[in-house]
Amino acid sequence: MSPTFVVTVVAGGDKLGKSLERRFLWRTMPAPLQDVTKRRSNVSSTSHYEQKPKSQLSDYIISEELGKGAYGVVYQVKEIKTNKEYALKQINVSVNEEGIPQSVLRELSVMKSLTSLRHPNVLGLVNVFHTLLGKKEGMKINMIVEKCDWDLHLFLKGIPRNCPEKQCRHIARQIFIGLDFLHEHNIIHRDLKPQNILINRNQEIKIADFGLSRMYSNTSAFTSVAVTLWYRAPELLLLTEYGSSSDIWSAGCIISEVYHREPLFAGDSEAGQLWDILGKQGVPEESKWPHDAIVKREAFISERTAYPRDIQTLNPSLSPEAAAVVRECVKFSADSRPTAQRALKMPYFKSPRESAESPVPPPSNFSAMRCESSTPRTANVRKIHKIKPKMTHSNRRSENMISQLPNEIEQMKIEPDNDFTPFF
Amino acid sequence: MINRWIWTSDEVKNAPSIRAGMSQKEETRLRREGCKIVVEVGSTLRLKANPTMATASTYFHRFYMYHTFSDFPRELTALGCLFLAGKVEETPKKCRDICNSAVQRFPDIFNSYASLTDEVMGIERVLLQTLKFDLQVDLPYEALLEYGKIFPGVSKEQMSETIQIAWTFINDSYYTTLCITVEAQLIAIALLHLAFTVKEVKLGAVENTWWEQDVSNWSNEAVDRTCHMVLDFYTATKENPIFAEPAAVVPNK
Repeated sequence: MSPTFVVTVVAGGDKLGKSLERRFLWRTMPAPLQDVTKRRSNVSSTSHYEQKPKSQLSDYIISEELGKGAYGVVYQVKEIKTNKEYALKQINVSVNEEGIPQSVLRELSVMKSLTSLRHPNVLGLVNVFHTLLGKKEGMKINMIVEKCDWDLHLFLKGIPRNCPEKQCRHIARQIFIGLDFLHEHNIIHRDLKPQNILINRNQEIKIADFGLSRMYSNTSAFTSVAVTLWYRAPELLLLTEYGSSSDIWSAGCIISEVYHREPLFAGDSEAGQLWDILGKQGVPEESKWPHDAIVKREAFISERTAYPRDIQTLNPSLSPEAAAVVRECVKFSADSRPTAQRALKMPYFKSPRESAESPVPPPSNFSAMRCESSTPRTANVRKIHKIKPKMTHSNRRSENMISQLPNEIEQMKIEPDNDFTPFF
Repeated sequence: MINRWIWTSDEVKNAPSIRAGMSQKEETRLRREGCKIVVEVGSTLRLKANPTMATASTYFHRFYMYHTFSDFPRELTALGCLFLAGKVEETPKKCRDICNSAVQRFPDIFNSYASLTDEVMGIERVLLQTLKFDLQVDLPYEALLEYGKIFPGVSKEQMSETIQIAWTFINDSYYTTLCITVEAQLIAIALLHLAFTVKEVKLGAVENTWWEQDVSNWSNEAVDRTCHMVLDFYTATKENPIFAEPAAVVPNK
């Protein structure tokens, strides 16, 4: 069963980056202003104050629990008014004498504004509201999000065979496009993993839970949160500065996993994870080891790390082009990894290879996002250390990402596979 | 997408307090007083005029499009907005400090509260509910600075003086409902235009309606109306300064 979810957020000085840059980006983002008069008339036609400002839990019917994750409990809900299905994420937040923690406020408001920009590969936050738990216990934050069919972890676990190249590339591309969008707006996911990449029947990918990890970065030492370490970049494991390039590492690991449904690096503790990475890739030279790492480089020099192997050897299912992307993304030194935008320019994403292979059908007949943490992919981390954020790649302008969306999206229609037997 | 936080002027004239029977004049007065509290208390806490105070004032104006002044007294909402905006804009101030400054600056208003900090905490939740966690507010300041760069015909000194004036106009516009009736970028345009007019700056080769490249169908009347909202505010408060009514203002010790 899933571990019980306990997260206590203790407020305090917000150590999380004075992200003036982020604010600036928000503010300078020009709103489409060409059609002011038309919009005005629209506004007046739907009178504002007639709409109820309150959006309470009672507007929704909770039908079933979909799973417990590191961030809270997820339920399937139906909005009464519209009969639409959504997922509800509930997060407990403790409130101290400074009210609702600053980190929680900031992240929620950023997510809220991001959603208004509507990116196809980023999970939309439809609504957010709080419910009080009691006088002093704090409150629940309720997030209504789009409902997707699976998370990538369940999807990969459920499909009967490896995905063909085209399908893998389609998934990989969307992950990078979504990441590029987040990074463009100075959001570092920090906890990208198959469990919070959602996938729909039509092969559409949506990145979820971005920013949530930051809400817990000043979590109290008593808290134990179940987290996966397999996708975590070395700089996070070594508790040094991290940046958007840490997400690129995770994306590289995930893409490798999409190909052969096995994790690229799999450790059961921070140290174990580092040993696995360095065992496969070798120990980097002295100059690349972070000077403020909590473990010395020398500690890892041993027989176990003496025989580095290439990505293609580690994962023979990767096509040469895909291997090139993964190889760049999982470079030990964060500065050497490409930005999401640069990765999207690599040959892998450029050459849509026509193939007769049909995409692997999605697993049928089982609920989305169930048992997120029921797998042995978790390690108990006692202490969440404070990590200084580093906004790399932040001042970069992106091209219109939507225009980069591949034709494949149109082409990629999953045909129902009659041979496919449900295995759940 | 329609900006849900922009209302028509008719809607503002029909705000909840007014529909509940309050006079337009009284409602305007309470809005100004609330924003005055934001600015005064914010200043004693050494918050720069922007963006925290502008954000707080915007929350304040939005809030009273959903609630009445009789349900939620302006002074509490003002402190709640300041408290919340401080956290969102990364200039956090302790709730206790905000309350202490408020009591010191406006003793007659705040002395009657037995536990002001608890009240502010309470109003924070109502604010979040009303504002739906949509707390990132667009402000006109950056747009103003950007527009300041597009006039090669104006000397550097003259331009920076003009920007300074426009900046002050923007600060003062938060006493009015401009921030809930006009988009931030349009406020920047209109008030820069106003500053040019006040300073009688010759724009040289640039068209007098220089904003048309960005905002094609924004009529001159609409620009004028925006400017007049600020000018009317100056006229009105010259005759009746905010908190001029007896028993409201007490000089700082």
